[in-house]
Amino acid sequence: MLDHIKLERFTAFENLNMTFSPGLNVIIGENGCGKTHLLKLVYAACDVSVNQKGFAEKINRVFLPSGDQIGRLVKRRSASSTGTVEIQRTVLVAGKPKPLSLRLSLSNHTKEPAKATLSGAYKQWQEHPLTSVYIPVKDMMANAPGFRSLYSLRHIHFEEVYADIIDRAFLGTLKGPIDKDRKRLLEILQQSMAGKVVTRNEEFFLKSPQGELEFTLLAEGIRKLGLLWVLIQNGTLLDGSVLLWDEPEANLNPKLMRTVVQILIELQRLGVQVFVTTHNYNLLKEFDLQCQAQDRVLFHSLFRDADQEIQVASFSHYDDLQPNAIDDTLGELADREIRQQMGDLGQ
Amino acid sequence: MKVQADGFEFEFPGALDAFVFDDKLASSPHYHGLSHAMKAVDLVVELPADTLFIEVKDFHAPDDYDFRRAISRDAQTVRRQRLNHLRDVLVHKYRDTWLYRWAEHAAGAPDKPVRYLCLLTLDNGLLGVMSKELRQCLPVGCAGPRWQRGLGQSCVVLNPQRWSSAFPAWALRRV
Repeated sequence: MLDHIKLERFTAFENLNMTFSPGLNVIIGENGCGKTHLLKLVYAACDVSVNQKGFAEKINRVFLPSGDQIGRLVKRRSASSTGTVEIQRTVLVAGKPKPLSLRLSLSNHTKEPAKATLSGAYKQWQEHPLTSVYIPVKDMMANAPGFRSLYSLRHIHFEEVYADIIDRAFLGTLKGPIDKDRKRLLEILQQSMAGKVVTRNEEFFLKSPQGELEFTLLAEGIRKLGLLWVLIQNGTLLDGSVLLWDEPEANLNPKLMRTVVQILIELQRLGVQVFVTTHNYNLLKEFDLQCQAQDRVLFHSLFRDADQEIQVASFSHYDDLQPNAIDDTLGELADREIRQQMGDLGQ
Repeated sequence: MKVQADGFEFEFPGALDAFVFDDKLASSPHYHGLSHAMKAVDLVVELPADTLFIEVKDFHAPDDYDFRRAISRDAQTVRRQRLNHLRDVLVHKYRDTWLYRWAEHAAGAPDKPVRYLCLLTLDNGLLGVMSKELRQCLPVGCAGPRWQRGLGQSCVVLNPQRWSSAFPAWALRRV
């Protein structure tokens, strides 16, 4: 489980300290407040524990700065400056919790990832692999055929999260029977998408009593449920793994949000650490309605302060979430409707 | 003119009258007297050219609607069911109050447009949904195919933040 992230002069952040829930983390904020950047950093930190790649290299591949110059990720200033990323997690060593941290430091003149300075317990970090999944906003399931081979052979301008999610979806099934908890989640998804997912020649199909439908013919919302089904079915999302999902609401009918949130909360209860960003009131409200007292949830609001620097405020209860950019926008809509109904009365 | 209801104090400068509609005190000039038969909104405000019916529900105060402090899942469900009945309650309060005022034929309230303001401590996102449902159910405007006049001019559901933002001239504070 990841505990904390500290950023100094990195991308949009001047100085940010954010503590995570070991369960569910729901992140809101206006565009440009760095929600996706946070998710990518957390993902990179998780992924290097498994893939043995360098932390700087992974960050470069998921952010894809121009010319692969990692120094471009340092917050822009007129003068030279350095940026740092520090991520902390707790691992169990001989049954006892032990904090580990990974710290990357680079200057805006750093051109290659290898020149960035890595410190902290990198070796121990890699001795404790942390399985993670990053689901990007754009669906990639329908584009899977041939994408992986193309990505590995050619230099195509896609952030690595797109190739990684396809790799995760193509992982083979775990040996042994599916445990009853995962089976229950799969059944919930099957009910919502009226079928289950099968793979043939790098192509995904939704198999239902009516036949098999290729993913390119499916609504994007159903593809999302299909991806979740695959990740649960192939054992990627197990106890101790990390799921990062950027704007699950994209192309998702509000009716399906109930199912998506139900699955995310259930995964959290099964020991998956979940990070979700959202701009959507329905999705946010579903978390509020479905979370129970025993659920470990934090609502994080990223916002710009009076100096236009990004800050974070975190709350255990949705009702306390402030500032709430989603609610504020709805409030402005409500104001306009009130004016429409009431004319100039009360002015 | 100041008037209080359900833990809030409202101020309506320039109002002709503002009073608790369902007054239980027999000696009061606004004694209702039909509480056993008719529902009632909390406040009636007579403005020079408009009448306001105001209903207040502060969900954070009474236990009935306080979901966060519900001690169990079942308790939460029961409390949410109560919220679902709220719309029907709000509709009947409006209609009964409208009928009462029609029968009362009070001075200062001759055929002025009636506007229904429901002050509920709901999320901003739920206000529009509730407003729309209420407008359809009251119903607002000349809704019936044979109607020549409307039952109400407008209806809005708003929370205290929206009240303060939309009605700067009508001060609102918790008491």
